[in-house]
Amino acid sequence: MGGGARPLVSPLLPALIVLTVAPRGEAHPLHTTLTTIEWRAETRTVQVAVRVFSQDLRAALARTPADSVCGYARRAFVLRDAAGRVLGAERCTVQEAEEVTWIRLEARVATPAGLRVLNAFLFESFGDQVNVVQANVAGRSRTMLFTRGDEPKPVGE
Amino acid sequence: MSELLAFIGLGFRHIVNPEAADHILFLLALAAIYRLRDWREALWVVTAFTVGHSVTLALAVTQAVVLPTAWIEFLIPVTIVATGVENLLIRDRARARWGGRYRPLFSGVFGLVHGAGFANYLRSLFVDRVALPLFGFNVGIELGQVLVLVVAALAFVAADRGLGALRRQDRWPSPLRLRVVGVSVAVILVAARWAAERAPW
Repeated sequence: MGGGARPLVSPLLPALIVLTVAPRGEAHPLHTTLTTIEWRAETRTVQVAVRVFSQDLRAALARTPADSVCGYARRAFVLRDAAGRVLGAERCTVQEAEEVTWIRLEARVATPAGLRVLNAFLFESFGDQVNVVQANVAGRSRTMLFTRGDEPKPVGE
Repeated sequence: MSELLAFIGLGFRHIVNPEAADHILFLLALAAIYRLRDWREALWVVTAFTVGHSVTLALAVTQAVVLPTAWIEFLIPVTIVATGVENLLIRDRARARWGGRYRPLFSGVFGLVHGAGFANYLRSLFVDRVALPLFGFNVGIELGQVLVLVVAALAFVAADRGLGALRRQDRWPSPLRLRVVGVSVAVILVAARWAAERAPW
């Protein structure tokens, strides 16, 4: 009798282990934001437009309920001048579309030389977050990717 | 970094990532039947998958078709189960219909389903410029898949050697068959659970 139980038990045990250790069946989301940065010589400003999935942004804000969208954006998106000083955004507007929220920031920047940027949107919420930043500054275009742990990157070099 | 390279990086990271479990599981199911010397066939099947999801991505991002997210997310694990079942049913590929050369076709068709999964995300972001980001994203996905395929091939070689050493009698199935059955059953179990969790009804 004891020998008869073996074929039943052997295949079931690995199957149960596989089912137990397998991750949950959540969909495979694309955790990303798309940002454009433009330098305007006539107003000496940098215009930033961040596109972020509204659902992801809500998840991030739920972690810090006191935060507003602009408050979060000002902390997560950092511009630094050549001396390393943070250039705070003076204006911030938010427009929520069906699936994507547009956040527009404007900062006074005396010169684009040595300007550095860090887009840390949603890094605290998603380990696989990748932020795409397309910069158009002083006639030069550059695309950067930011992932968790990145430092500010030069915009115009 | 150029814009193209940035989007290639985005696609690559999207696949080479623990969050991409459903995509990686599908690749494992596709690759499970191949030996190292069959690498051209495996690459062809995986590339057909990329072509399939590139087509749906392009159609959905340009809003040529609108796809129901809940059903797509359910169908993705169903395609994984179907691939695993096909692995188990076809014991002799040389005698299979069309010599087993239908696999790129079904891989491409299943790719259409998987591409729809990304499309619902990308459509919202790329509202102005679509062609270059989409192309780069797809190239990155293909490169990520090739890397997953290489790692899987090395793991399969190690598994075959281990199973070969354990094989005590000639009447036991070959190490390749044991590997195909082991990988496919594991993939079917996990994907079936996901399909149940994602059922849209």
